[in-house]
Amino acid sequence: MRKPRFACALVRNFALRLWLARQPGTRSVAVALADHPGDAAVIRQCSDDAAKAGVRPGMTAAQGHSLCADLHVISFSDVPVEAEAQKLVAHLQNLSPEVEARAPGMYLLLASGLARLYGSEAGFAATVVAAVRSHSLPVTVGVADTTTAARIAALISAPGTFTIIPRGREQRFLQRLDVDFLQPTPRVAQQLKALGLSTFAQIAALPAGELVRRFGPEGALLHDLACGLERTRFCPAALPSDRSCAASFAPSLTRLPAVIAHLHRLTDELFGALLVRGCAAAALHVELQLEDGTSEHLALAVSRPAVSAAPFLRQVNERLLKIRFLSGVIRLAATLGGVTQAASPQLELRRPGRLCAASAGSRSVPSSPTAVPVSIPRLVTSHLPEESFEFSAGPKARARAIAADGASVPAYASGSLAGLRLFSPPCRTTVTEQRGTPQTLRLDSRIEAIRRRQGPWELSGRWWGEDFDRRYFEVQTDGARRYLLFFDRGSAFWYLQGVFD
Amino acid sequence: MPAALAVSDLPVQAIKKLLREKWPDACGSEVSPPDDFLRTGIDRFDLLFGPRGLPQAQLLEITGTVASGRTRLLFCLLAALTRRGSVVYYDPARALFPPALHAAGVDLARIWLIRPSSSAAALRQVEQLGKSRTVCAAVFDLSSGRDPLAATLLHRLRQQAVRTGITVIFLTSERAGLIPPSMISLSLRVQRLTASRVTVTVLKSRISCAGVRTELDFDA
Repeated sequence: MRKPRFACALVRNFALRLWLARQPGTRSVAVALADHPGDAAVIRQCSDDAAKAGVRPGMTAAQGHSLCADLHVISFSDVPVEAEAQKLVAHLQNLSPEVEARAPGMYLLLASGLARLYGSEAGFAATVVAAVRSHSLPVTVGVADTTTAARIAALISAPGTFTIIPRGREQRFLQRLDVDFLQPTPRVAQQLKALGLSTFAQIAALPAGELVRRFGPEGALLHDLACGLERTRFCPAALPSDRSCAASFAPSLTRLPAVIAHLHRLTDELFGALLVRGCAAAALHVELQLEDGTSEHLALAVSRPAVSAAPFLRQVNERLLKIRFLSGVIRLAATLGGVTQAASPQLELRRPGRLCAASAGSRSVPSSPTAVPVSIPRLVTSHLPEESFEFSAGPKARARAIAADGASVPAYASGSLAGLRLFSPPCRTTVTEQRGTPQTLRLDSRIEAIRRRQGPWELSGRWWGEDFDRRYFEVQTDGARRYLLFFDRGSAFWYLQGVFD
Repeated sequence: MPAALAVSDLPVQAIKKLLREKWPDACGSEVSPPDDFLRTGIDRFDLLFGPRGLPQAQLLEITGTVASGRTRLLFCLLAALTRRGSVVYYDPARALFPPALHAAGVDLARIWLIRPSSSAAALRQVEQLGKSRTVCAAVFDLSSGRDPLAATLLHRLRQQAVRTGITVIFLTSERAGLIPPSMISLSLRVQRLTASRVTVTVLKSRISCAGVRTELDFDA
């Protein structure tokens, strides 16, 4: 069996980059990310402008301010790292079926069998770069035989580019590298320098026991990394349930026609679920677990995303006929990759008012009147504006999408909500207040005086879970602009919920 | 045997007719007067375009600054449009607030929200839905958009709108320059006067004079 290939997408200073990406106007501002708010907080990451001013990770926020008066210090609580990392994983899962978020900003992808789908490994790496850059994050990508080598290849790449280490050339690539890429602790780095050890090759040539004796567990780690050995297993994140399915068999399947029949059933199920969402898949990964503990992997790809299993099943049949099974199959797993929204060339009009997937025979998409996935808004009973509606797909949702009586009387505004546009999520703002009443409001970079205000309306609840405690105002600023504003007592911040446009 | 008629002997209109029969777009797209009109119920607004109301089957732009009242005007149009049929809504900024639609009298069951990955994909999807004749209008909320729309896709959509009778409404920010002016048949600018009163100015129109304006009071 061929060794797998891995790609590593690396976003350096992920949390800081994320914050900068969400504040487009602050790209050329000195920003530092600290553990927590306050002058004593230790700076962990800093922007290029802050670094130019002499600010370094490890300093306190007060030290940073003394070097750079304009330094803007944010804390980790200001950046939704987890949520954004999850979004990125979900996006990357569309490119490769197996993705692991090893650390915030470091994503490992299985790259085996995807060269045909993306033209080459370079095509795959370029697609990954484009995918991460679409989130406004600078990324580097490395592709190699091991996750360690892929990570180092990503580390040495310039922003927005990728490095591919050809199969079997990993040792040659690693040996020339500087020992700094092993990221030793400062103490060990100093000792290595004193000993004249400056490259991976020199570390790898030393006896592992000697390194352990001198540097403890870190010595063993450095030796393994210098030799290109994996220390951590690749653990891909779980895929959404409609992209992967499996079946176990007891007794095992010993006849090939039975294996093929079960595989057809699994792939049909997967594509059925995909079709409902109006999506297509360009890759299929099949894993056959055998009774003797071994497993066979089939990585299949088609050049154009398909909405049915047929193009893959032809390949599956051909490949299975070539494999000689020494024992029965006890488990079958199929995973879809390269999932995209079905493009228009794959769809054709059968008759006006009804759109069918061309390659799916006569099966129409059941959840919407056309193959274009649509959602219908529906009002639901909730006190919070952002939870007072939902979007659901399908004709059932259309039938349910009736006016909810309770929603016509909002508990957070003076009267009609017509023309209200939401900020999703609510936008944090600065408000000057007098006895709890807002007086001025910061909008983008300007401060506007509040001429008229209505409220407050107090909203609180859900004490058993994610509780909320808000004080709402409807304010009118200069130029007769009206905003829906609330003070969140939990975070002690003001937020703009929406604008009456 | 009669002598063959030379092309140069034919009148221009006849040559154009022959060409159009062979290649429909050879002589450019003909602008024929619209035969479908929409009455929004706001008389002062409808009268901007003549006694029959707002012409349909065209690309329409509603532009204005933040909080200018453009969304309110759009919702008034949607209330009238959803009485005729379904409307596709593209909302990349996720700013759509369905209770606000409901408050403006829009039939929510006839709002079909699409969430494609890009505005180009959205244009294609609307074109596809237009072909299927399942919708009567489409809305592109580009208030916070930054990238101009592809002119080729817009051109196709405009042709589709004329053929199928759908009205495509673009909600944009003033001077955003997302849509080439040549693609738009009707452009309206909304400016707020007071909390409920706005001025609507016709910036471009094929059936009424540019520069014509009216004042609307939404609460009246």
